[in-house]
Amino acid sequence: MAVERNAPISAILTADFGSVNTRVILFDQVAGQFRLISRAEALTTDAPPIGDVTVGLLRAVDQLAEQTGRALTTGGKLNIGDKMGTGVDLFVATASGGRPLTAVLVGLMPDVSLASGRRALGSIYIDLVDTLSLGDVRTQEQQVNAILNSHPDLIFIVGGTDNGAHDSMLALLETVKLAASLQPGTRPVVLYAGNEALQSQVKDLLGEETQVFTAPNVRPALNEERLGGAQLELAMVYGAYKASSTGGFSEVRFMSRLGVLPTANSYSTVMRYLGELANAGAGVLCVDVGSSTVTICATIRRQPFVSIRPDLGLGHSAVSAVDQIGAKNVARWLTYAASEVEVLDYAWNKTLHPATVPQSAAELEMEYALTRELIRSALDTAREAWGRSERGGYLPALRPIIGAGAALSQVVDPGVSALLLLDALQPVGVTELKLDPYGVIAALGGIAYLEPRALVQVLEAGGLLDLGTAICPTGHATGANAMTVTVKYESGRTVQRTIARDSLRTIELPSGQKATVTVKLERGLSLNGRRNRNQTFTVEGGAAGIVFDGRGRPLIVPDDLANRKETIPRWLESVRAERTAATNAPLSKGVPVMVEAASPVPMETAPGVRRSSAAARPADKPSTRK
Amino acid sequence: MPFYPNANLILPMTTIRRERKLPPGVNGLDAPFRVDASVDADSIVLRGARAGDYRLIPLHAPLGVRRGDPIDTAWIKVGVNDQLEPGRVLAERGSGRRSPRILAPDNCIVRRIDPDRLIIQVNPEDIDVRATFPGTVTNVTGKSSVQIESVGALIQAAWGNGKIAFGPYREEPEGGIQALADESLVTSLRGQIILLKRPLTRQTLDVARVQEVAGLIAPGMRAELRMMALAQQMAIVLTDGFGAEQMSQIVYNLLRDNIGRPIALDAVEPSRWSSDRPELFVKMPSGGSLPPAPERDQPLTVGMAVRLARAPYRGLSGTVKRLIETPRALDSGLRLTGADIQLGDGKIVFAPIANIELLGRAPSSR
Repeated sequence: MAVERNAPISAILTADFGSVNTRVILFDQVAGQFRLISRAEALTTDAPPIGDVTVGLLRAVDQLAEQTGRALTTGGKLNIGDKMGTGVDLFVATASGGRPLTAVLVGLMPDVSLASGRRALGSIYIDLVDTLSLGDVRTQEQQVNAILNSHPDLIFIVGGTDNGAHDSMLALLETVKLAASLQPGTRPVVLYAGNEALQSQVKDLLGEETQVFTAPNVRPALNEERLGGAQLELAMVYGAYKASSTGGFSEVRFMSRLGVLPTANSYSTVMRYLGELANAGAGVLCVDVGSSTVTICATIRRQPFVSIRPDLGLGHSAVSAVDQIGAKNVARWLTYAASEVEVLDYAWNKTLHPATVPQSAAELEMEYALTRELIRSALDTAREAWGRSERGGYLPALRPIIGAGAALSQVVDPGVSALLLLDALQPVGVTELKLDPYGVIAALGGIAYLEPRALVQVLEAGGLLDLGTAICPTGHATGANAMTVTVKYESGRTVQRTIARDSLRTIELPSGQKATVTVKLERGLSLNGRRNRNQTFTVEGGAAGIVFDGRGRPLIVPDDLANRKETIPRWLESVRAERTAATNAPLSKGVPVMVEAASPVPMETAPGVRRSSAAARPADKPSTRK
Repeated sequence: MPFYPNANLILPMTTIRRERKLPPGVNGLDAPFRVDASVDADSIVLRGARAGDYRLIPLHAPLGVRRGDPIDTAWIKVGVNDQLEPGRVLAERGSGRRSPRILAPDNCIVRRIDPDRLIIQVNPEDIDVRATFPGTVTNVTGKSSVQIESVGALIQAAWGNGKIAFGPYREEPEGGIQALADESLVTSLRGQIILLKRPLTRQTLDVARVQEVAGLIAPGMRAELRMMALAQQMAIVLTDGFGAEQMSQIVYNLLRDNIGRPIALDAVEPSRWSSDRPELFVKMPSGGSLPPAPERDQPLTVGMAVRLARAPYRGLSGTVKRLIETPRALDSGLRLTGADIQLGDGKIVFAPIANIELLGRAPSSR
């Protein structure tokens, strides 16, 4: 992306427009380093009676202004590029909420170009309503009617290796041209990312009927896939679509240096960066559970993958989610008897009231159950694109796995966040777990195009919350115990514990500290492909500490209710117990303030800066769901 | 720091204005009422037509012309935008009885004439948009949008089955409408709107259908009955949601107070991409001046009337006693800011901001 570099950037304001909430974050330089200064959120106001996203944006920014003492708005407008230094130098907007872009995918071969096209489309929020290909048995008339009846915003054309198929591609283009010419009202935009030899012909042919954009071929050769260029163009098309379709976004697009980027694009950028780091292991993964979508963004063996499931979510998409994953699969995590109809009732009420939060313990349990199954289902879809899988089909040892979205970050204890990630993703080996409770990934991914230092410095300074390290053997222990572990702290103190079969245990290791862990596995389990041997490695600490998962893989959740009533509360208790016993203040350090903080704590760290994430976590307002 | 909760309007007396629009893709044909005209709930305020599928009609083969040879424009007997009935000649080569010709397959509109084909659009579908509540037309925009205004009691509900109904309503008998399965009583419910105190069941739906009830207002039903409810001719509105056992007291009281008056059920099924909500509306005499319109986008303040959206207080209403800006633990263990709400029975409970719904009136304007 070609980006104009102007004056030096210091203060940066970001806004991420979700289906339910608009989150804003203020970053600034403290002692020459970019830091997260503060964050806030307000309900997204895209729907009537307001119908203007800038209203919710300004409400959130007003909170930020109150927290930081900065003049972030003037006369109801964002104070961007103010030479007096009171506002911000840069504003970047991302969006995941609102109506997705309706798209028709056109390509040649289902398993080749169309598969790549689908993966490219997976990086933005789309509703894929139809697909045209060589294998399509419909007549041209039927294809034209299918396109017209689906009222697409975008026709995404892929197909043909470079200098490859020609005539078959032109036949499909004729159909697209005819449909575009007959479309009443606004015509769909065309993005062409196929055989590059045809680019000028495509522009000539379709340019008479509608706006045509081109991108590098997503499949330049049969064995080569290049999605980056097309994904970037798709992001631009998405931004233009948001600006034209939702009240206030045209103004946001004008204010934001990069227009309105899809939030998933930001995730992808940050995951690519993390995937390049030396300790990334097999790769990195971030899962964001939102109200309307579940996004899984990963870098596996240095190749980026983005997968958005618009049919899965905890609010707006709760009903379609239960339809997809099955009420029975949700109920299998509950410790009380709930019929499939009751699960569906719950989902319907969440869809009707997506911003609400579980107030009773039973409803929170339902929310956690849904969260686990949503992630599991989204992961299944995401992994289809990853290619080679680990032995046994397990998730490879990713470093880190990051959880995002209120369902994962707005929990009663960081250990619970860790447990939800372990239950849903079932990673094996030694895995670092992190949370994004402040929504920095969405923000930093956008900023990275303009000020990449901010991405690096904010993440290095703890922009993500360290949950800790999970140690997850595969197989199942045959005896009473799963493993014996010895943790040697940097101070020299040593702790030894035995982890019973089918149980978890956490051992405290604060964020920023390391420890040497020795694991002796019992019969039936293996770790990193090795059985019954002492294995020693260094792990990083976090709010949840070190989590030893003795439940084995694949994880077995008891089928019968009586057994579940004993097992699941025990699992929940065990991820909290050790730390609570050890410190008696489980949320005292390195834990999201969002569920604890009362009000902003003024802390002068630099001129004009009242809070520093390096010294204190941002003062989150208690929040509703994304 | 102000918080702006969602609103679910429940107002005993208000002025409502609703815009009625043709659905996307429908061509407006007529807007029969002018500004200041009175309309009933079932008045058709907009008429339109949704065009059907396109047909691509090749010319060469049916007219006996070799592919590649030109088609004489004189052979084309129709023009663009001509509206045709089935059997009309579209193209004819020559003039004899046996001359090759192409006939219109259905009612259609000619959309395009290409050198090698005709493109027609067949079977337009009539679309009528009704007022859904009685009122006065206050604005007409072309043939595609009408604004209607009225005064009365308004209740926004949780779910509807996509139908509308208008008429007097009554409360169900003590034994429920199932008790009215007796044939002799059938006429007593026909065309009526019934207020149910209990959740809607499969049996209730069956009885209501047989007795040709016009509409049902219920606190809730199981989600498994949704498809059955959608298939009914009658309008069905759920005031509180799926699985709800009883109706919010504030809703029930308002409905009970107006029994006997005609009620309009606009049982819109909520959609993720539409702001339309299912609504119950009881028209009242305005007494000359218009009462205030609902105030939906208000910051939460002490003294506001609110309703709570989640268990264990789901459906309960009360008044904001105190805003709590320090996160407080819920039964679930989550810690959130919110407000102390004094319920109707005097009990004070804490609710997080996200679970509080405004009812549409700021304290100062009540």
